[in-house]
Amino acid sequence: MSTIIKKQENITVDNGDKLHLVIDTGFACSGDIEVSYFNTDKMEMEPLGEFDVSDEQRVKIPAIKKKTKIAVYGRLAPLPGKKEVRLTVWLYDDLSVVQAIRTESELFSIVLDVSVVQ
Amino acid sequence: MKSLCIFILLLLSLSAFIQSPVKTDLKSAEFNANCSTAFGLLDMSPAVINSFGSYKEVKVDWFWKDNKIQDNIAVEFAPFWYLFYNKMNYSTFEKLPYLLKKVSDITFSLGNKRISTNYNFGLALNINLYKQADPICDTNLIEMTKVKRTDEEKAVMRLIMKKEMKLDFIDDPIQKLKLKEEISALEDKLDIITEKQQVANKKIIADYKKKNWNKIFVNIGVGNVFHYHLSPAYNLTPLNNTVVVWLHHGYPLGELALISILTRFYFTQLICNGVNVRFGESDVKNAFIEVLSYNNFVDRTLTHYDLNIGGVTPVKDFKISLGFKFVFDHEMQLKELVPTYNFNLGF
Repeated sequence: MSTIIKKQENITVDNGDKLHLVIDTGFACSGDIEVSYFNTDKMEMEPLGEFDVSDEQRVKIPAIKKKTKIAVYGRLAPLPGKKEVRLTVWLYDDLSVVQAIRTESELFSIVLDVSVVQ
Repeated sequence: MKSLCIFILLLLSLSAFIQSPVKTDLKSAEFNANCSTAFGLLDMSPAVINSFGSYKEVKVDWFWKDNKIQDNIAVEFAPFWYLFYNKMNYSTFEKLPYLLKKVSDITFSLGNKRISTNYNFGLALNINLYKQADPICDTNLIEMTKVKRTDEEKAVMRLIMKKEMKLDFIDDPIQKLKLKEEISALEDKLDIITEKQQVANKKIIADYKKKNWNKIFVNIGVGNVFHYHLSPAYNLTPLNNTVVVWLHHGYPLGELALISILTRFYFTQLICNGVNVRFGESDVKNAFIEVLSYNNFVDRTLTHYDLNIGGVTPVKDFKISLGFKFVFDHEMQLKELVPTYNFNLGF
């Protein structure tokens, strides 16, 4: 049984042009993560960057016409002095939060299945 | 009053359970006090003088002595940590000035002690002024235990994600099943790769604790002990109360021992001087011997001596302290010998 904990969320947004992610761990853990999205035109996963989550990270998402998948994945480790890991991903539509997803697993993947209202 | 205290204690314990996120295999490198400070103040721990402690979670103590199970409970927590620091990023914390970092170490504890029909209720505020080894401020340790994914790990994880994302776009069940099997095999491979660093991190933290549990520290504190006749539930006004202030500092004796010294002033004209020596391999696994003298500092008379001998050991998530308390009068005549036990649970 794999130790990777996967989460998947279906999210609908009104406008796919101004999406961005905010990724934060609070005072809990260190982490080396990646963010990618699925380019439906090319049918390929394309990277959006690698991040050290000691600081809050903001990641701009390319404009979405109809739908896409955004994946946040990697590994976390508790800071010395802490017992747990936690990482929260907020999806923002311009200035408002559309969805927040939290993981408390060292090996994790979060997939956001984003659709734009037509 | 007693019901109120027990209610508060239960509420705090419950909130700790509710807030407690999923624990991982990696154990905290934080050094833990063996018993809550309020219990030390109420003379309710097998050792009155603890190792330094800088516990940033919530901790509950249950104490009994003389083989009688009673409602002697204490809770200790770091209020400023919970309010201001817990949600801060590490990089923000790292940039804080020393004094603000120290504020995160302030702990507050409250405890209840029952002696026959009398009740004592203690409040204590403990402030760490200095500690030579502080895991949360040790940038080398933080750097060493940081996640560092290898190229192989990154490649395997990317492959898993690529295949996961493709899954939804495939309609053929045979192809889908094949893809799932490939993902499963890659996940097993990923587990093997990551386990190496997780094991290495555990070793780094264990070695750090072993090497640094007995480093220099200086604590100060203030407390108040309220004395009640019968249960405070019937009468909230205490018979009297005693304000206490203390200075507590410790130094290494080689690699396997810690000597700590306590000077405690009671505003009832009493002064307690004590020395504690702990031998062992960590702050939660050691044996101790301590001597305390209680003097009236106005007329300079000795009231009594205490000799405490015992040990601390972890049992799963609990820490158990066991000891014997020898009470001598001012002429060094043994007056009392009491076995003491303390269970300590950190969330």
